[in-house]
Amino acid sequence: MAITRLADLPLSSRDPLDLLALQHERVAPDRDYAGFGWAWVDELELAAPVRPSVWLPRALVLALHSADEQPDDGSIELEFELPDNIVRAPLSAVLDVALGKLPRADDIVLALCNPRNATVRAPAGFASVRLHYAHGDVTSWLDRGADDREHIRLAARRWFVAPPAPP
Amino acid sequence: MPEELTAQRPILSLPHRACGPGRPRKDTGIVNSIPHWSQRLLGAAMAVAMVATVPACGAPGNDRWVTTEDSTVDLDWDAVGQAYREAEGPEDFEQRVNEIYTGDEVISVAVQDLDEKTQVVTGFFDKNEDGDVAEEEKIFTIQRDVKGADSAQYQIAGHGPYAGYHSPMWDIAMGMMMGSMMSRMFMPGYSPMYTSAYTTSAARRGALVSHRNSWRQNNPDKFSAAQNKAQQSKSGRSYGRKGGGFGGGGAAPAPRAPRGGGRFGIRRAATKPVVRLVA
Repeated sequence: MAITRLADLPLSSRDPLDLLALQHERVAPDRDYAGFGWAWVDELELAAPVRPSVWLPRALVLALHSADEQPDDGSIELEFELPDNIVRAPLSAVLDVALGKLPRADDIVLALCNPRNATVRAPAGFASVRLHYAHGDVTSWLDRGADDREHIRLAARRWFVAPPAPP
Repeated sequence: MPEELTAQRPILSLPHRACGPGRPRKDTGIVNSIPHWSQRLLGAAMAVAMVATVPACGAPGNDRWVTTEDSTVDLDWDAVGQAYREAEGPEDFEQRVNEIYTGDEVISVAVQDLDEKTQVVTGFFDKNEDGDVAEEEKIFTIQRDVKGADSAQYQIAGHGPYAGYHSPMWDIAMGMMMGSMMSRMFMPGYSPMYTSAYTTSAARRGALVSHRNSWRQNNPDKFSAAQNKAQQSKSGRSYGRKGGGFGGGGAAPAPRAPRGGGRFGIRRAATKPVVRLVA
């Protein structure tokens, strides 16, 4: 059945490795991956070239996908691949609907490509949440140490914390 | 304006070594190798990220270990490629390469950005110690080409005693663990640093010899392991001194390569009906 309201998007809780396409052995990111949803991730690393990584002890990762074609108005257009159709929607509208349904978190990380380096703003009512977003492509990685310890790394050109939306 | 993140605790990441700009040189001879490279680049299509595009099985010149009648010491090409990926700069790279090479000669390095997208790194035996790359002094070249905002490729080719070797085409994607010599190209506002070539100076060669001697003394297990690896050619021939310790006390396990996940943007034409929603 086709989705007609953003509130009906199936943004469900998923296993973090499943959500971030890390279940199968792969040496580079799957560029056709279209999965979305959210997951709790412990010891999350937000990495960017030549800058120190930011480590989040526990974060809620909201995995979304930017559409191939982006608007010129400074917003980010999302694309959700559903069984029957494809839904496109502005990120701000999706955040307005989705954040209220998520568990409370101090850090929410958008795993979301931002090809035009748009500024993301936290929706009203979420000024106390650190909403992390990136510029450029975001890719997910599972780093494995010599002692078999693993952690998830999200890589991008640069990471930011979203300022609150203007009143 | 958004708040830029700052580190909350240090990353366990790549080693940081002091790197300097080095002595710029204009005449490195690198340019002469470009047409040859271009042919190879064109021949290697369909590269998969970080998985090499391996030419047809059994194709000559793709062995990881390559020996010729002229060479007495093999080069571990995988290790050379890894050194390039992880190097923090040319001085770090030449130091790593000379740790990998188990022979007596010093490998000098020339690094030149030919344009915004293409960098060529040449390893050579500076036999006449003039600091310039002569064609007969070359032992390998690495060409790296930026393919897009977040991707690049590189390939290694052997020269002189290693002529005939060429690596698969390796894809690099932003997010892979790499040193700043390579990751710099993914930075916003990137501009090439080595339009005037960096070349190992005579003084630097002396420092490399000192460093390598102490490295070999301090890492006898790694050095002998590298020698043993280098002596075991694909053809089963051995070169130079045999032996080496095989005693206990195994080395600590190495970290495994990171596993790639997903990319969070759609880059393909819609194959289903598209609905746009705003509420």
